[in-house]
Parts: sequence; structure tokens; C-alpha cells
Amino acid sequence: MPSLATRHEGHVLVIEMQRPLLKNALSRALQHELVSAWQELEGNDDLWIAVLHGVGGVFSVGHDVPELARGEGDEADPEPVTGLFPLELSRPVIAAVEGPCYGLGFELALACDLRIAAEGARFGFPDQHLFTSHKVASVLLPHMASLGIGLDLLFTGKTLDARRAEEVRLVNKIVPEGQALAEGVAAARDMAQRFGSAEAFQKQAIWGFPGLPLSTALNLARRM
Amino acid sequence: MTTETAPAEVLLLRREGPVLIATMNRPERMNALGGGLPEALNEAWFDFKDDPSLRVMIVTGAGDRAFCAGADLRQNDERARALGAESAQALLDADAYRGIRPSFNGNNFGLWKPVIAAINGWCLAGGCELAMGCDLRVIEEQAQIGLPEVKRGMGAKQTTHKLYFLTPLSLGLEIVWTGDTLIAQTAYQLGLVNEVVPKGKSVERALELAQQVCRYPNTYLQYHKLRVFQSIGLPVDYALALQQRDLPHQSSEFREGLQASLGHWPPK
Repeated sequence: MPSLATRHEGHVLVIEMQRPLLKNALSRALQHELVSAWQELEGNDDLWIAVLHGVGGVFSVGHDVPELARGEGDEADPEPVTGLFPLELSRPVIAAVEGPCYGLGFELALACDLRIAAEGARFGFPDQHLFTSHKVASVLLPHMASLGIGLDLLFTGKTLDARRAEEVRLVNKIVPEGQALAEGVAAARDMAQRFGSAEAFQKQAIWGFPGLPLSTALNLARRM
Repeated sequence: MTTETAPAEVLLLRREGPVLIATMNRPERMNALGGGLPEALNEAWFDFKDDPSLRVMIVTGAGDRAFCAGADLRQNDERARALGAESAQALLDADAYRGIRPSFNGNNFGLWKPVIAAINGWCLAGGCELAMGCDLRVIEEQAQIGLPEVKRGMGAKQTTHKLYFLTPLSLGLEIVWTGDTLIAQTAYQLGLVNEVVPKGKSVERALELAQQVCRYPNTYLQYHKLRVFQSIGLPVDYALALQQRDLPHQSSEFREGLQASLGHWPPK
């Protein structure tokens, strides 16, 4: 049974993680389905932007720990599946977050371009027994929030509520509980209408700026 | 728990299991960096770094007034006069002074163990830089933090570079160029500190955080601190592609941790 569903709303691809009983834990299968969803997005000229959401009032609690514990071979590997993070795509992705957004699920949300969070959303790496590498968060948290906020989340297992996440710049907008998906889709439709093509977002160029020396960034910008 | 005292007693060192608590102990001078304190901090930093039984360090100030008020300007003036210089600024520029800046003033790239600042009062100038050089900051509600050097005609020089990784550039410039101190709550809102706690509670809270940090194996802490510090200032795509050795899940503790994790999974 698939654990992910996609649907088209105009130029928007809506992606829903659907493992509500397991709080949308990112099993190996679900990770592969996400990679397929990104391919669907990139391969269709009529799809310009995506919204990623989890059903059941949960974004995702991260790794499927029971699968990791009983798994053999590939399923016992806590390293994310290649291509899981939408950073290399040309299309923007909006994470629409309700409830827990933890571990690998938190990294997935960070790797999206924008985050809309419902009141009640929580972010972080609260499982202090799961010794996996947060490769993507280690790089993105200092850029998006700050060095100190990043180290705190990585070292203490602390979680941030939606308000604090917004305050430290990890969340773009807070909406009432239950509204994240609707607001995410509305924002995506609006953006699609304004930009009129996937290319117009210039996602890769923009992601290329942070961390560049200012002079290099200015030279690049002149050629855009 | 054992209690020991640094040679000059300007820095009190106390162990709580794997946590080293270093208390700057010149309360009559607002724990200013002079009188052998920078040297003692350096020595403690290296001892902490090299002692495998120590895993987290907490830095705080004695008394209820100050964490650290920065360089000991009165002492600098005395030394400057002795050197024939006209002001403390000349001394700040003197090579003789450079060697005794505390090592964790932001330059802790060689240290993968977390250091927590328990900011118990005024946290100014070099004291602010010391706190910013730590990995986490807990501040008491009455404390203020800032870089007032500009108000004394001295630029903040040492590790203000760290500031720009802790706040957006425009806020960092405002802090350096106005010299206005921030109240605890403002520092928290800007993400410059991690937590605000009631007066007198910063060490207690820092110790709780240290104990949480100690639940992770060394491989986990080492991997993430190195990855964070190696990647800041690099283009994102380049940093993401960096490969590291010794992944946490390759450690001997991983399988054991997984079993413990199963016991309370899925997280609430």
C-alpha cells in the first residue's frame, strides 16, 4: 500500500505523506515514494511548485525506528535515500507543517524552500537515543536561524514550538491549527500565478547565494 | 564531586561528573579579564579539551553582578603606563596582550566538546565575546549583554566575527556600532542566546542542558559540531556535499540507542 499520495491543483503538485498510524515516519518505502514525487514534479512542464504535507495532524516524526531496528540491509540503513531532500530541484517546495516535525522529518522540512506551520507544530530532534547524522540540518540551521540555535537543537534534543521557530526564522508563517495545507496550497497557487513558469523562480540561482563572498554574489547576480 | 581551585584562584573549577564548571572569580572587578584570569581560562580550556573524562564545560561568573565585564581596563591602564603607552588602546594593540586572550573566544574549531555560557549578570565587551565563543548561552533575566566598546572610543576587535553567525548582519552592525546593551529578553528574541532563566538559575539550567548533551555518544557530538563549524561561511551546496568520517550511526552505541528509542516510539 502506498504511503504517499500526489494530486495536481493547477500548476501545484500537492504531496501528502499518508502513514497516520505511524505519524508519517519516513520508512525506506516512503522515502523512495518521495523521490518519485520529486521526479513527477520535475518531469512535468505544467507543474511549477509543490506543497509537502503529512496527514493526521503530524508532519513526520522522522525515521521509522521499528523498521530500522528490525530491518536488514537497506532498511537498516539510517542514511537518507539519495534524492530525498528537494534542494536540488528547480521547483520550489513549500512544507505545510502540522504537529510534530521531528528528526529526519524536520530535516525534510528544512530542505523545503518555505515553511508554513500551524499553531501546535513542533520542530527538533527530540529522540536522544537515535544517533543518526543530521547532515542537512547541520548546514541549514546556521544559515536560516543562527549558529547558536542550530547547536542547541543538535546538542540538547530540545524542540521549538511554532512561535519560537518563527522568531528564529525557521518558519515563514504561522496559521491556525488545521490550516497549514490549505494555506500552503493557496500560497503556492498564488506564487504559480505570479511567476508563470517553473524557471521564473530561479530557485537554483537563489540557493547558490548564501555563503558566497558578497563580490562573487554580486557578479553572479549581474548575469542573472 | 570534587572541588579544586586554580593556582591563582581567579578561576574556580568544579567537576560535576563529566561536566566542568569554570567560574570566573574576580567579582570585585566584575570578573574582568585581567589578574591572570585569561591565562587561567586558557589553561582550563586546554585541560578540558584534553581530558577524555570531561565532555561539557560551563563558563560563568562569581557573584550576582557580572558574568564578565570584558578586559580589565584599570589593569590595562596601569600596564600601559608601565609600558610607556598613553592609553589602554595602545596596550590592546600591543603584541604582549594578544597571547592571553581566552582560547574559546570563538576560536574553538579544534574543540568538538560543547561549551555553555551561564550568563549570570553583565556580559560586556570581551565578556560578551567570550559568551559568543561558547556554543550555547543561558542568560538570567536581569542580565544585559552587549559590546559597549564604541562608547569608550574602542572598537570591539576580538571575536565579533562570531556575532554575524548569531544574528543577521544588520542587527550585528547595530550592536557593534551603537554599543547599546541588550536586555536578556531582546537577546533571546534575536536568537543571540538560547534561554532566559530567573535570577540565580543560569548555572543550574546550564548543568541540566549539559546533562542532556551528555546523553549523546562522543561520535554524535563530534560529528555535528565539526559539520556545523566546517560548513558555516561556505556556499550551501558545497557544504552539503562535504563528506565526513565517523558517522554517528557507525558507532558502537547506535544499535543500543535504537533499542532504547523503540521503547518510547513514536515520539509525542
